Amino acid sequence: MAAGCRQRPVLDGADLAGLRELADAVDADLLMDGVRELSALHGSEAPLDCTGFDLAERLCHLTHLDARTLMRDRLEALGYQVSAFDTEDGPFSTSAVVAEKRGASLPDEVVLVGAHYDAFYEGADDNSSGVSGVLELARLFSSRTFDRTVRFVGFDLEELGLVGSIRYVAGLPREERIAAALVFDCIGYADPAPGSQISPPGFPPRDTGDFVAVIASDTSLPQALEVRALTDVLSLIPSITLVAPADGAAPLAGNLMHSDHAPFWLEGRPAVLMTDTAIFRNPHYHRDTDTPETLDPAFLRGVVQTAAASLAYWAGGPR
Amino acid sequence: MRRALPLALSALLFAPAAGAGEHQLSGYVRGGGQLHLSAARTMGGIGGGVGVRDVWQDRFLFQVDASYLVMLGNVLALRAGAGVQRRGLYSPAVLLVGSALLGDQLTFLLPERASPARGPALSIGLAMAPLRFAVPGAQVSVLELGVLVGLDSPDLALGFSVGLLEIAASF
Repeated sequence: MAAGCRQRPVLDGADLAGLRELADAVDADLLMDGVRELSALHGSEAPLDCTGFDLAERLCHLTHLDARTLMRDRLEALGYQVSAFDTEDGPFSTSAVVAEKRGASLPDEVVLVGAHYDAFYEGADDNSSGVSGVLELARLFSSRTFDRTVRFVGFDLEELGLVGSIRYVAGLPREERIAAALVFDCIGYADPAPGSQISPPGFPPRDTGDFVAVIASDTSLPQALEVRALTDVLSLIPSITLVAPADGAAPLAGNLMHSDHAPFWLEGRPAVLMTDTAIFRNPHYHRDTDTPETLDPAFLRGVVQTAAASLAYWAGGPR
Repeated sequence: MRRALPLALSALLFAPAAGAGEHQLSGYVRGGGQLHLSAARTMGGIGGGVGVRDVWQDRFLFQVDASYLVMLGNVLALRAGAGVQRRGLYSPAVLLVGSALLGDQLTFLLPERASPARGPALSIGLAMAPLRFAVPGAQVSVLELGVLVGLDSPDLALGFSVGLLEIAASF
């Protein structure tokens, strides 16, 4: 683990065989089952009251309650003690779902993985794929031991402007050490066809949507380099790493701030986002066509494999 | 009126040289932007800075300047240039420019590149100032366009610069 220790060689001391075994255990069928369940819940739940939000029609199709319940129930079924980080501020209350596996030797150092559980329409890619990824990691980590505490978080109301994660990060005790945070947002859509990937101005042009984007800031550059090194040494799915300057708040880097990792960056905590790039690839983004059958199970599994190896390495394990 | 405009333009184009000494030193302030683009990083921004220039024989330019750029973090842009200008009130110029950008950047690791680009972004290129005017003791340029090339090994980098306003005073 190299958070805050840039001089250390990348992947120093990694148990590559253990990380390989962990990554291999990621189950594509379970991931897709999770996506289908979550999408069905989003599709059947009564959406949030959108009175006063008349700028975009999709705001009248935002749901979150049933997905929150499913996330909590699944984590409890895996044996985790689940808590809620509830806030009341302004027109919307938020509730983060939080579960932890205490670290064996460094329990005060936390490695966090999270995804927002609110979604427009069925929200298969955005963000049932991310929530399903968190639950799959929780399943894999539940039977293994790590040096550091591993925390699984479901963020609320990301779609209304990162509301839940901003409140969650603001509520973290200053003395709590987040060694690394990993956020999933849209991790299931891939398209290898030429022309399927859009690159914003100032970013390297890519024509095919067949990679996972790993987005970091200067604060989390060590973690991004470790993800990349693990990708290479374990032959995981191709990744492109994008590192924003400083805390990411530069105007021309704004495209890299659009998910729940951003509040971590702004608080100076190391965080990495994994994404299929959402609107820059997925034509169903924020539409009623964002359904499970549009996702690529192998790609989704590949992203979660990369996350599993990275998270385990940061957590110091598996032991 | 129809005759006045061509006459005025002719006066600008064929005006006598301003500041005909061997060496004419001037200081200038400038505003604009610069971008350095490669597969490894994007660096630059918009901002402003100061520089000094020596005009030799009212023809040859030698200059260095430093600018502070924002929009993509905090970037220091250092440039050195040498070139020629047209003598007279209308004094367009062309310069060979070397540039170094230091500071924040957007960093990329592509599948074929595993380590980040580090250090200053160096490039060389040409800058043209087609709307530049000189009177004794002062010069003003309202547009400067530059194209640069650099190397973020092993990737080629392209650079672009735009000067929107430069005001110089001789001393």
